[in-house]
Amino acid sequence: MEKFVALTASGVAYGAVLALVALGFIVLYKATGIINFAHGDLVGLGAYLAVWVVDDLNLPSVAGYLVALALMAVVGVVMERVVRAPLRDKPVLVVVIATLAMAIVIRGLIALWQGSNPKTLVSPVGNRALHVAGAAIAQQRVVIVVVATVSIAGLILLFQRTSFGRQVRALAADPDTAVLMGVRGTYVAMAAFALSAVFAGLAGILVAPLSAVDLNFGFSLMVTAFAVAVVGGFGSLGGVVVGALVIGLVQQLVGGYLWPEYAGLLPYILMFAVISVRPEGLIVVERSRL
Amino acid sequence: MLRVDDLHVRYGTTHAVRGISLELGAGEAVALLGANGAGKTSTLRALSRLVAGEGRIELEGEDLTRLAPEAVARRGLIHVPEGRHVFATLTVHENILMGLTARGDRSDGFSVDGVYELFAPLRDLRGRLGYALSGGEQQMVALGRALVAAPRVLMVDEPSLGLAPVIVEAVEEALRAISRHTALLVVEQNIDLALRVCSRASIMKHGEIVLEVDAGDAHEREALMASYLGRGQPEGPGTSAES
Amino acid sequence: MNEATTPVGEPAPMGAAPTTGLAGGETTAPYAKRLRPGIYRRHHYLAVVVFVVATAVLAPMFAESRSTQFLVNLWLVYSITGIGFYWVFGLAGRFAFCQTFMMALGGYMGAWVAQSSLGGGFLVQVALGVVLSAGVATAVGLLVRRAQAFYFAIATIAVAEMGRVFFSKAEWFTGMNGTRTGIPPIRLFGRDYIAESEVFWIFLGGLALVLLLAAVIERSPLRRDAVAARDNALVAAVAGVPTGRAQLTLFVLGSAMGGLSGALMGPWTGTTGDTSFGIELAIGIFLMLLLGGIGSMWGPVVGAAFYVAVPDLLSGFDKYATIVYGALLLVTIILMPEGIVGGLGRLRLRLEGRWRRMRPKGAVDAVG
Repeated sequence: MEKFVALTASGVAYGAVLALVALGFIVLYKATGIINFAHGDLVGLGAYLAVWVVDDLNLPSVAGYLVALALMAVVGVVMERVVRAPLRDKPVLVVVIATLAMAIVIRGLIALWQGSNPKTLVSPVGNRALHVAGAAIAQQRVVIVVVATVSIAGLILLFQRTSFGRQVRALAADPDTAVLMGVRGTYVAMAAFALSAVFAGLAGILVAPLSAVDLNFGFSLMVTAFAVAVVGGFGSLGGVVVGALVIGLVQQLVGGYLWPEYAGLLPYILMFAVISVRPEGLIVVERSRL
Repeated sequence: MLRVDDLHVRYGTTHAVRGISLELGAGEAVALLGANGAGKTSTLRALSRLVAGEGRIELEGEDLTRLAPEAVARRGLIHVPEGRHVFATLTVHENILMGLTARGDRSDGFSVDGVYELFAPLRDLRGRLGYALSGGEQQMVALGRALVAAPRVLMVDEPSLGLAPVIVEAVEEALRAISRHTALLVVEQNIDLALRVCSRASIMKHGEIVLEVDAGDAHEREALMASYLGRGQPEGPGTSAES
Repeated sequence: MNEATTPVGEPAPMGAAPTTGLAGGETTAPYAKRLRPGIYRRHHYLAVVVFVVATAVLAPMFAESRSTQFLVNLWLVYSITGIGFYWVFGLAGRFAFCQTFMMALGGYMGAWVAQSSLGGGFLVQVALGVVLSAGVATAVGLLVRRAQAFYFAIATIAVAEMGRVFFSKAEWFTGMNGTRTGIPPIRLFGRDYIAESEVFWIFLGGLALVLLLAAVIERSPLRRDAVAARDNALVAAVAGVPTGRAQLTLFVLGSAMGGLSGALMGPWTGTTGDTSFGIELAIGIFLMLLLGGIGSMWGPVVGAAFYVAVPDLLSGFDKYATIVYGALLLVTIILMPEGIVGGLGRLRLRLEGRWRRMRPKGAVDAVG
C-alpha cells in the first residue's frame, strides 16, 4: 500500500511535468505547424536559468523563478526570429531541422556557460515530505501538481475563451484563411514561441529539485512528452493532459512493480505501439488548406 | 474605393493575370466573370496579397501593393475564398468571431448579432464545429465571418459553387442585402446570378478583361452572352493557371 | 513512365509552380525538390572511379600525421553512414532519427561476434552487423510503414531511445557499462590492418563499394519511385508507384549502411560504446547531409569532410565545436539550402552559360 501510494504520487507528479512539456510544444505546433526539437533543451535551459538566478543572483526562489520564466519568454521570441522568421516560406520540415540546429546551439551555450558538471536546484519547500498512508511524498511533488494544474487550466482557458486562442486554433486549422481574416501570423507565432518556452522553463524549474540538472536533463523529458502527445493526440489539449497522466502512472506503477530495470522503456514502447497501430496518432484533427 | 491598376500575376512562366485595371466605387457591386482559368481567382488572390502580383492596388487612396495579406484584411479588403474555408475545428460562433480580428476599429458593418439576423439558420448551429456543416451553412458562415470584419470592399469567390439551387437563392438574397452596405467584387460562374446582384460586370479571358458590361443594359448583356458562347478560342489547358 | 515520376529532380514544370502554401503543418513538399544539381547526373560510375582514385592518391600524400590519417578514416566511415542517411532522408524523405542507433547496433554486433566463441573473421563480423541493422530496420520500417512525417520521426526517436536503454542494460551484449573494449583489429587476407594508413585502404574499399551501390540506386527505378512517393505520396500511389516498398527498401538499405559504418569502427578503434553514437553524432549526420547537399549522393561525402574537419580547424576551441555545428547547420539551411554540392552544380551551370537561359527564379513569390 505504501509503495502504491508513493508510486502513484510520483506518477501523478511526473505526469504533471510531462503535461507541461507536451503542452508547451503543442501550443507551438498548433500556432505554427512546427515541431520544436529544441523544446527539451528549453526545459533544461529553464532549470539552468533558475539555478543561476537563485544561486548566483541570490534572488529569493519564487521571485527568481519568475525572472527565469521571463527570460524564457525572451528566449522564445529570439528563437522565433532565428528559426522561423527567415524560413517562413520553406517547408515545415526545413524549419524543424532548424530547430534541431537550435537545440545543439542552446546545448552548447549552456555547456560553455555552466560547464558540464550537474547542478542542483534546491526546492523552495525543502526536502520536507508529506506522509500519506505511511508513504512519504516529497512536498515538491505536491507543488508540481498544484502549479501544473493551475498553469494548464490557465492555458486551456486562454485557448478556448480568448481571441488569441481562437487565432491560434484558426491558424492550426487553415493558415491561409486565418491570414485572410486578419490574423497576424508573425505576432501569433512569436507569442506562441514565448508561451511554449515559458511552459518548457516552468517544467524544468518544477522538476529540477527532484533530480540533477545536466545537459541531457530536458531531452528525455521531451521524448517522453512526444509519447504523451502521440498517445493523447496531437490535437486536443485535454487529450494531452490525459496522455501525460497515463504515461506518468504507467511508467511509475508498471515500472515500479513489474519491470524496474526497464521502466524507462515503457513510454517509448507505448509510443511506438500507438504509431504502428494508428499511424496518425490516436486522435486525428481535421485540417484544410486553401 | 478600390482601384486596381495594371495588375499582373505570374506563376513561373504562366502569365495568369495580364494587366487588369478595375475600379469599384463605394456601395458598388461588380462581377468578375469568365471561364475556368481566365484568371479571376488569381486576381482576387493578388488583391488580398495571398499571391504576389505586380501593379498597383489602392483602397481608399492607400497603396496595398506591399502589404502582407493580414494587413490588407485589417484595412477592410476582405476575401471570402473559393470553397469557403470555414475553420473546421472552430464552432460556428467562433468562426464568426474570427471576423473581429480583421475589423480593427471600424465601427460600421455587421455586429455578430446582425449576422445571426441575416443568416437565421445559423442561430441554432452556434455551437457546431465547422467540419460538420453543409455547403450552404458553410457559405453562410464564411459570409457572416467576413461581414463581422466590417469590410470596405468584400470579395467573394464563387459563392454559389457546389450549392443546391434553393441554397443559391438564399446566397443571392444575402449578397443583395450585403451590397446595400458594402462594395462587392464577386467572382461567379453563374452569370445570371452575378448580373442580378451586380450593376456591372467585367469579363476576363486569358488573364485580361475583354469586355465590360452594364448589367442594366440588355444590348450589352447580349454581347456578353455571345462572348461566352464562344467567339474566339476556347480556353486551352496551357493557360489555365487558376489555383 | 508515369506522370508522377517525371517532374522529380528536374526544375519543376510550370503547372506545378508552388501554390501559396503558408507555414502549414502538413507540407509534404520535399526539401530537395528543385535542388538537385545538374552535375553527375549521367556519370555516376565514372565519378565514383575518379573519386576513389583521387582519394587513394591524394589522401596519403595529404595526411602525413597520424592524427590527420585518423580524421581521414573518420571521414570515410562517416561518409558511409551519411550516404545511408541520404537514401533514408534525402531520397525516401523519411525523417529518421535512428541512424546512430543503427550504427551502434552494427558496432555492438560486430564486436560481440568478434569477442564471442563464434569468432569469425572481419568480414563475418561486419556482415553480421550489417544484417542485424538491416533486420531491425526492416522490422521497424514494416511496423510503422504507414506513419508519415513527424510520426515516423517520433517512432524512430522511440527506437533510438529504446536502444539507448537496452544498450546500457544488456551488458552481455554491449560489454561493461555499455562499452566493449579490446576488439581485435581488422584482419583480412591473412594480414592485420592496425596503423591508420593501413586501415585507410579497408575503409576506402568499403566506401567505394557503398558509392557504387549509391550510383546504382541513383540510376534505378527505386530512386524514382521513392522520390515520387516523397514528393506526393497520394499522386504516386494513384499512379501505381509502389511507394511503401520503395521507402522501406531505402530505409533498410540506409540503416544497413549505418550498421556497416558502426561495424567498421569497432575493429579500427578497438572499442564500441554508446558515447560514440550519441546525440551529437545524430545531429552531425543531419549536418553532413544538409551542409553537403541533400540533393546528391555526393552531398554527405562532402558534408562528412566538413564535419570531421571542423574540430580540427577549431583546435584549441573544442568547447565551441557544438555551437559551431549548430550555427553552421542554421546558416546552411537559411542561406544555402542546396548545400555545397548543390551550390557547385549551380556554379557549373553558370560557367556553361546555361544559367541565363534558365527561367528567372523568384517569379512565384510565396506570401509569408
